[in-house]
Amino acid sequence: MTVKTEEEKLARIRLNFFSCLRCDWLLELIELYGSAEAVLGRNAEDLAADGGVSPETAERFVRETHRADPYGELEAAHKAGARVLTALDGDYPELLKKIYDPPLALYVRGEMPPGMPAVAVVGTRKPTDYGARSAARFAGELSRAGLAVASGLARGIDTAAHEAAVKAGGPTWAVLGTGLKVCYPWENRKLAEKIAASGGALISEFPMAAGPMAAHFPRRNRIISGLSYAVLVVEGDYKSGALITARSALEQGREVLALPGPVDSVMSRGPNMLIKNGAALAETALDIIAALPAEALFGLKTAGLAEKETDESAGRLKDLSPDGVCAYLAIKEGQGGLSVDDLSHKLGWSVQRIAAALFELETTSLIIQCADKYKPAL
Amino acid sequence: MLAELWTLGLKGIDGFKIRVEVDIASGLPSYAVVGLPDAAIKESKGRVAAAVRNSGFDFPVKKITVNLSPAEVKKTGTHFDLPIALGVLAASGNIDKKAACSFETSVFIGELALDGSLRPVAGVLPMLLALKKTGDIKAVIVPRENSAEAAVSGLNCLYAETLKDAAAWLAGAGELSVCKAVQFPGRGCALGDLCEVKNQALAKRALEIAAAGFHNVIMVGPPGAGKSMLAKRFGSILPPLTADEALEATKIYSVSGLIKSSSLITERPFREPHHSISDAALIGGGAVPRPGEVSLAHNGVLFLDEFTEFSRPAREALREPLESWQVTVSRVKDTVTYPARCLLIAAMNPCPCGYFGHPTRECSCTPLQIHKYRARVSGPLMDRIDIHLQLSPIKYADWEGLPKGESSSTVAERVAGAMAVQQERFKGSKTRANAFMGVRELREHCRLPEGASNLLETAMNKLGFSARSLDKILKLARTIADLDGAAGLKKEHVIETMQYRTLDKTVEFVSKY
Repeated sequence: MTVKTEEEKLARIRLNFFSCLRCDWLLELIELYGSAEAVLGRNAEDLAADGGVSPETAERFVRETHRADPYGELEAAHKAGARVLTALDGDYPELLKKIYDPPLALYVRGEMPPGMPAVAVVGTRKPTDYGARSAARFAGELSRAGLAVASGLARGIDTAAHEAAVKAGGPTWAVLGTGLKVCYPWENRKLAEKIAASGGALISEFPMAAGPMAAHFPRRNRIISGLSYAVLVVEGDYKSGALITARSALEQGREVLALPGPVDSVMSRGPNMLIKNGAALAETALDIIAALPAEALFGLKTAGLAEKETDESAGRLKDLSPDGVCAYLAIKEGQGGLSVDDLSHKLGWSVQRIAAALFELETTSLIIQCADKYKPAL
Repeated sequence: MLAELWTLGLKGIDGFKIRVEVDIASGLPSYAVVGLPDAAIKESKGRVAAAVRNSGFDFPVKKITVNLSPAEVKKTGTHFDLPIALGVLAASGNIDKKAACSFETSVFIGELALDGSLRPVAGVLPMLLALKKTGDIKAVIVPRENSAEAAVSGLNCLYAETLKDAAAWLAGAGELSVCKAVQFPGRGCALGDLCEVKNQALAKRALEIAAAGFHNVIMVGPPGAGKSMLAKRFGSILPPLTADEALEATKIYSVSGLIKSSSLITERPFREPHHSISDAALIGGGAVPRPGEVSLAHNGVLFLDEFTEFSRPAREALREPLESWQVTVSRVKDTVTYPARCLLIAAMNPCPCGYFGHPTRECSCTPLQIHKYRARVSGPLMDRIDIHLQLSPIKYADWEGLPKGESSSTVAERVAGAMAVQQERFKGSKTRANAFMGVRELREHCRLPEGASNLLETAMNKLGFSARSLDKILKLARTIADLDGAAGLKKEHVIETMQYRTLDKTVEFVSKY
């Protein structure tokens, strides 16, 4: 990198401090003046006039960008094992460059191989069993097909998708609404480490130490869709972050797919509405792959994805005791999980007999406990 | 003139004899009590003087000195009124001391009203029990309201209605009635029967195991899950109080002044203090030490609902009694020890909003909030709790057509059986139940069955149990085997215990949705 571009990169990081909430006018100015450095060299009146923003905003911009410390940022990023990419860098994602307002700087921890096609799996933070299970299934299948799974590291659907992708051994990209130094939500810190360690990446456009501000999340959603060829909306109410991601995907010209859900489920109202409005209905991972543009299809492994959801645990069921199979089928049938009491009621067994069956199922990771109930594992 | 009588005092829940000496001498009229009396005893002058006058006697206008011996021990209580008043009457010649032969062989207890009638006092039974060892006392005089309680002591107890009656009896000029005890043996617990709890098979089984091996229980569940209902019925599956246990319980209640009309505590205590309780009230304490809730629950159940809402000092103070089955209260004035062999049943919500795991209502808590909420119960305290029970409300549809479950008495029989096995096992050792086994006993009595050694390893790796919870698992398995009548642990015993240690599972092994 030449000295010139090095300085331009620092200038862009400087701009990025102010741009995180809107950057389209800055991109225009960079084009107008020729470089980010030139933008920094102008006074507030010029910027207001040329950028079409209020004088107050322009003044605040000048103040804040001059206060910013791009060297410190680079050092902090380096310490956290992350890189900072700008549009000048070769490994800035090509797909992201194509959107209307690509981030001026992108902090990346982990690997993002250029040309790796990604699909976003997004949804509510409070999924139903069906949603969490489906998110995990889709993410796992997409991962096995050779796609990166992009999502937002939020609770619920995002977590299920990331976890399934990590489990399937594929890369998964978590786009954060905070700086890379901050982990939000707190309980996903281990998952974040796993993502970075398993060939995936943690991505953010926000300065390293930025906290989880409410305004950050809609902004980060445009990056999730911007990095992906298609967005799968798993669950979400009418007003849901997942629908914001779907909208930005449409603006960016990306495919939007939705997982159909029961009509009386609040969490399926969003995706059902998308389907009504013309989004593709996703039944299997193959539906998603079929919606991808040709350029994304190169090298995908689609063999074995053709079957609809067979009981993939059927193989594991073979090794179980008859009691185990019986209890597993009962749990799978029961809506919202079954407690020991429910099982004893349903099967008429003693607590001891149920305990033995549950132990077998739990240690083979077929079921998982949630409060007093047992549910099929994702 | 001098008169001497006997009365009793209390230290902790044990009584001791006190000599009351009354001297009346000529001089400036005064009334002084010496021998470290508390304020209530010093104030006795007003009650004694009025009671003596209103009983038809003259109160001497002389220099009156009352000594309570041993003089170096602090004395509290109002039951000194009666012996002091009788001493005044004897010393002033109103009772013929030569005719009365009962001074040395009688004990007097009672508070006086101004009209000369006797009022009940606290701690009668524990005081009287101290006399059983000495044996030189032939009669005990108590107020009428304390008569049933006094009779339990087995001594020759008489009750008096007024100071006049007591004085007449002492002078040999009147008779007093004999105290009568209320019937015994007692019942287990009248708070309800286990068969009234529908469904909840796991919870009932867990309580059975808790009762059999003296394992403390923590119940986690949303409102309406039946936590209190189950806890209230826990006493009913314990065997009935033995005579000794009843006496012990009655002593504690008597010291606290909680004995009302009944003479003897015949039911297993069930104490349910509110979560605003102070640590001193929970454990015992006060400037003049008094037993706390843990002691009142001695031989019974201490149920702490909304466990996380108790103050941290109160919760942490539970560690001593749960470990040593007694509480030592040290104050400037005194150090006393109260027994506190109670079984703790703690209940808490699963999360701050209370609805995590509720079948119909939505929980609004984040996993972090839930984690922090549960961490309020400290590690050392959790270590003393063997059984985890997660509950949720049952649906009406399930509730309606359910048959009645087993009755408490059936369960109590099995519990008694398992207790007998443990008594045999721990003969000659300090351990009294499976829950209190030390490392050596654990190794001796809880050997894993053949081919099950990998069970615990699997539990650790696949369910995230810690090494510490493995000890608990073995103890619980021992109790389950005892209920089963099995000499050695079996695989199914060990596996069943996993259902009672569910809070040990690390987060990764529990669903977040």
